Amino acid sequence: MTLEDHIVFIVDDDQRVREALCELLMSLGIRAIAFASANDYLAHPKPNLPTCLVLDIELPDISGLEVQKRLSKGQHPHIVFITGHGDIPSSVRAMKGGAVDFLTKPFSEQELVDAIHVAIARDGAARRETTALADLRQRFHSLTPREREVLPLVVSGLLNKQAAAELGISEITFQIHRSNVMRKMEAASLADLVRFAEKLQIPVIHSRRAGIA
Amino acid sequence: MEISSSFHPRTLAFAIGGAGVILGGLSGEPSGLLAALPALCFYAGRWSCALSIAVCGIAFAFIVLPAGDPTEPIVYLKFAAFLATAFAINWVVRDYRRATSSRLTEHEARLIVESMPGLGWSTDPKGNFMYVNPSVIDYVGKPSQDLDRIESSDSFGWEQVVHPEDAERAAKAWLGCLQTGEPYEVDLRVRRFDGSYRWFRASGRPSRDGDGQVIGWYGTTIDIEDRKRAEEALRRSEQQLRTLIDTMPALAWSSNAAGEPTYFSKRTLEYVGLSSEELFRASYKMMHPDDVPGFKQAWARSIETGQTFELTYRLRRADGEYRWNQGRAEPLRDENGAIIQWYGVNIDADERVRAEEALRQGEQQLRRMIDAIPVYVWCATPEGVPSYMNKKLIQYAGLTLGDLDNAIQLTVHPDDISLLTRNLTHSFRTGEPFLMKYRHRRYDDVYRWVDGRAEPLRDESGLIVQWYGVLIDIEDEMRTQETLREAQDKLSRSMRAATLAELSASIAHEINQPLAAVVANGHACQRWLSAQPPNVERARISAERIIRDANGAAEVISRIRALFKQKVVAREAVDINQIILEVCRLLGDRFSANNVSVKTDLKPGLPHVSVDRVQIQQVVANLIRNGIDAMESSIEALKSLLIRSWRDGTGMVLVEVRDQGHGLKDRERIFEPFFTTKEDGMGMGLAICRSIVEAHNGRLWAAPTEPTGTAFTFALPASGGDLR
Repeated sequence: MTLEDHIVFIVDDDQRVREALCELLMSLGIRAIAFASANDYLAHPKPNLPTCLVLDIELPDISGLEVQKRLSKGQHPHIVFITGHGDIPSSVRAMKGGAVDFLTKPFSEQELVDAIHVAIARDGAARRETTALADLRQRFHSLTPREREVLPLVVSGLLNKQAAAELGISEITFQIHRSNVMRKMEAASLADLVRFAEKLQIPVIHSRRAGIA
Repeated sequence: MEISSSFHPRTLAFAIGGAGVILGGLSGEPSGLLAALPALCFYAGRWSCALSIAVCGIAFAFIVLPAGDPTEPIVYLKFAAFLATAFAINWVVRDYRRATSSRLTEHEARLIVESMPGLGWSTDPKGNFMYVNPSVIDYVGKPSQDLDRIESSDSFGWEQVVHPEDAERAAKAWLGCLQTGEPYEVDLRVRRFDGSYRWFRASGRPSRDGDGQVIGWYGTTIDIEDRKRAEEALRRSEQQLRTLIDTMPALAWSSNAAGEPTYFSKRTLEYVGLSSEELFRASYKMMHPDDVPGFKQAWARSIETGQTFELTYRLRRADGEYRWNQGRAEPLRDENGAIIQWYGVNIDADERVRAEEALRQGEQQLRRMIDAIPVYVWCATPEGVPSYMNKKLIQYAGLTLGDLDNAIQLTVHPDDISLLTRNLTHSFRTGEPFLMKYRHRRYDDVYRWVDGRAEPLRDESGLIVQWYGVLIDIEDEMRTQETLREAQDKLSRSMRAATLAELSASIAHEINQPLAAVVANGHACQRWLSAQPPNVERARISAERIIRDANGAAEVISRIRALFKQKVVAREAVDINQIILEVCRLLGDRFSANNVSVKTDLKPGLPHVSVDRVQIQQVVANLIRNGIDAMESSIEALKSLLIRSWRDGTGMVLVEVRDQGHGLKDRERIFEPFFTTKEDGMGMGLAICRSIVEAHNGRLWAAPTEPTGTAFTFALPASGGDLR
């Protein structure tokens, strides 16, 4: 982990806590930016890096749980909650809302660092996932309309002959389309293509068995 | 005119008779006697006697005298002389009589008329004034000839002095009287010489001669102005009285001594819609049939005894509605005390009677209510003698009405009797309300706690008229209260526990905040030191922060301890403005985070206050934080916080924090511990603030501000005004 490939945002209304956390994370080589209120954080531009949000429950403007609720509607970093006096209902709410951890002040360095690592790892994975899917979508969009018709038939497992008949074209033409699809989708094998189709949530409309039946 | 016939005839007859006798004696002729005797009788007014003497004389002359010497012509001569003498005497006497009687009349009449009051006058048969007494001339200021009949016409001169309205009528009547000879009587206004008119009554009677011929008129014209006026006044007052009776809002009537109606006022007739005649026939027609027997009886009694009649009964109004009337009649008595007349009035008393009826019903209802309400009511005389118990009480205590006098002995618990008696006696003596809880025996011989109360009713002068008391069975309530008290004890114990838990949570928060910073800084410090090479500079910064935050935590602890001990420690004389500015600096990022603009209006040169700086800082910070929170959802432009400081006339220094938030619903409760209006507030802030300020002998309060928002103000006593 280096300073450049991730970032931690801290939102806490207590200046002493902000200072201490920034200092601690800096000493650990973790890049951190602190905000005194939720609005300040929301207004701040977000870099496209694996991110962790350390969020105080008690905030002057919007409470931490409310921020979590608002963020849940879009792409957002994983959240580590910190609180001065944790109560069970808010911790349950926080965890249900997808928080990585719920730390009660004062917390140990290890607890915080572990939680931050988990959050950054999850965020990194999620970001990678998102990036891959976007790439796949890009590839799918490069297909011609006919090729987009061919793809579901291929991943359904129909024989070339059956699929060609389905589209009313010759088997040769179908095979050309199919190899174009494989190339454009950068699929090394049929198994890859099936996996991509699944990610893209392309519906399997014909199964071979159904065709025989 | 009979005036002359009383005295003169006898003298005259005596003279003539005497003359005849002397004549006869001198002449030696008895025929002179013959002439004398009838004349005598005639003048005595005895026609028959005169006639018989004359017949005897003639018979004597013809029978006796001829017997002597019938052929002698002297006899006839004597006879003729006798007749001639008799006729001559008769004629002379008649003429004389007429002359004397007329002269006498005129003389006496003048005397009488002139001495008569009023204007006396006489006229000839045609109406020309023969005489007017001087007062006429004086009055009208004209000579009598101006008053005469105007020649060959039916008008009279006196018409000029009569009021034009009366002249024609009077003249016509006078003409009629002159023609018929009937007495004349007319009221007319006569003009006085000065031009004013007065009422007169002119009356005249004809004077007739022996043949019944009118020979003249005699009359007086008497001043009746005063009488006329009196009559007029009387008529007017009578009119007024009648109008009064008719317009009076009462129905007036009268009856004779026997009780028969004699008069009903116009209003009465209109009211009942009947005519007088109908009422005279049957006055009961106007009454309600049910009331007639009662009326008859009462009326008969009044007629009999002469006592005032008074009865309220129903009259049927013209529209057929029966309305209650109060009738009243008084007798009018003559000087002997005998009743002459009854005078009565009826006054429509329908509303009153109905109101009384309603009142009576209301009273009955009230009594029924008092008997029905689930409260035990009693009354006693001002001396304390029981006079009434309501049904409920009688039933509750299982008493009978006969037990009223010794109700206390029968119903009150033996242990409570002496105190109750003493209290009651005290109340009855002093008039102070009675109030006591005691045990009262129920019908089933169970003693139950009751709350007994009694108050006196006083009249306008403050004298006690009656004592009213109630008993309320509080047995169940007493039991409930016991249970409630136990429950409350339990509750307050658990409340204390809850408060403690909340308080500890609050304290934990206050302390955990700096502790978290301490721990994080500690770790950071460790990291900097264990790095290769160690970053001593940063480690030192971290260590400094550790110290600072740990001290902060310790400060919180000491503050809380101070709060619980209610003790002010380490007081120093400070400038309150300085504290305010410090806090504003400390909260600087808070203001900008919330877009709140702060305005300060701090009075320079304020006296110092002797305070615990940290605590007062905490108060100011807390009030400012509250103000910011209160404006959380306000429109951005309005988010401004005003902090003022000043000193008042009583040696207090005041600080006000004024926000423009939504204002407060409950301005006192906010100072209670654990009362909060914030979603995630603990409700400790203001409670702590108040206890701090009060520990400094100050005050803290909240007040709404216009147009919106709240002003929190605290006042601290200035420390002896030692200005630095």
